[in-house]
Amino acid sequence: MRDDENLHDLIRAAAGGDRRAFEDLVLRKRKRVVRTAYQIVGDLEDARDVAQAVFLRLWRTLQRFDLERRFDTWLYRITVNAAIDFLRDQGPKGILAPLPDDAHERIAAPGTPADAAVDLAALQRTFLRLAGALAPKQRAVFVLKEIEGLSTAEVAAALGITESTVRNTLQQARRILRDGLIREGHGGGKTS
Amino acid sequence: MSAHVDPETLADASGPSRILMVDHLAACPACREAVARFDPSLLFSLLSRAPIPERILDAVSAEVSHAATPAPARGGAAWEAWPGTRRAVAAAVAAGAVLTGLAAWMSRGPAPVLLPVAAVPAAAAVEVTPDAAISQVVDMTVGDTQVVMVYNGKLSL
Repeated sequence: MRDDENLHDLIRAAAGGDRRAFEDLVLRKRKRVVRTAYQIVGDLEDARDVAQAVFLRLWRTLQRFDLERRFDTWLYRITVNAAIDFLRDQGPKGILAPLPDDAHERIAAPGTPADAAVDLAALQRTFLRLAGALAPKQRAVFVLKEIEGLSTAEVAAALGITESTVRNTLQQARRILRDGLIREGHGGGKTS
Repeated sequence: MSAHVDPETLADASGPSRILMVDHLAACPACREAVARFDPSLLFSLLSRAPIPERILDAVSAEVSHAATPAPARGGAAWEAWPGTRRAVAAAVAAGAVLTGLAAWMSRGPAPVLLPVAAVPAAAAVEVTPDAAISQVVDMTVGDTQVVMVYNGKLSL
């Protein structure tokens, strides 16, 4: 709650032209924006360009933001639209983008044995390879729901579609990815 | 956390409960195996933990900070925020409009020739029968195109 209040103060100040407040807002949201853009465009440098465009658009339009609405949903909407526009402008390109050096870190809870940790770099490569088979909308729905962890209602609001469209699109995306994973020998797979 | 992740619950979860499940999944091979058996695409939820290099994040901040020039000025470009600049631009636009109008007025062609009815050239393709109601005939012929305006006081529209 306190976080939300702080965020509202920050948004209000930034909308009034306070550059420092806007820079704080960028600092708070940049990781989420870059990560979302990266999962959609498949390249970190491209994701950086998309994120910059997103924040500049935010700077120009923030004063129109209705504080009654959820800011994150609005930001996801701008990000997804910018990433999909970027993909359309660029056309299909090689799916395998070079991974950053620090993406090879393994993650684990403190005290977890090294062999219990998941290899995120390999998982990321697999996702980018298989996600190439998804349509932009399927990819956007999957990224927001499965990677960003939004609820069905939040995804629907962010993308301007109905919840049933989100559910259907998510099922299609999951099926395509699951089939790809099974083809490559990962997991058993059960229809859901 | 000792409990294991239920794949079906994970598939529908969002918010803080999902964060806890994904945290657990990241550290528990048994749960990853169970999730992979149920639907391996659910393992991609772990990508929310993928690190983004600081250099990329810093580049975003630096570029945005550089490009977002002072004052978004409620919907307008940054220069609109400066009253002096606004006044100067408005004055320049007004002066431009006056000069453009003046230039157009000075470069206009000769005024239409007003001829009495009787003076309409006999060779004109348009013949105007003299009539008391016709007070004026204006010949606006340009080159080969003959344009004649006839003023008829009796005409009602």
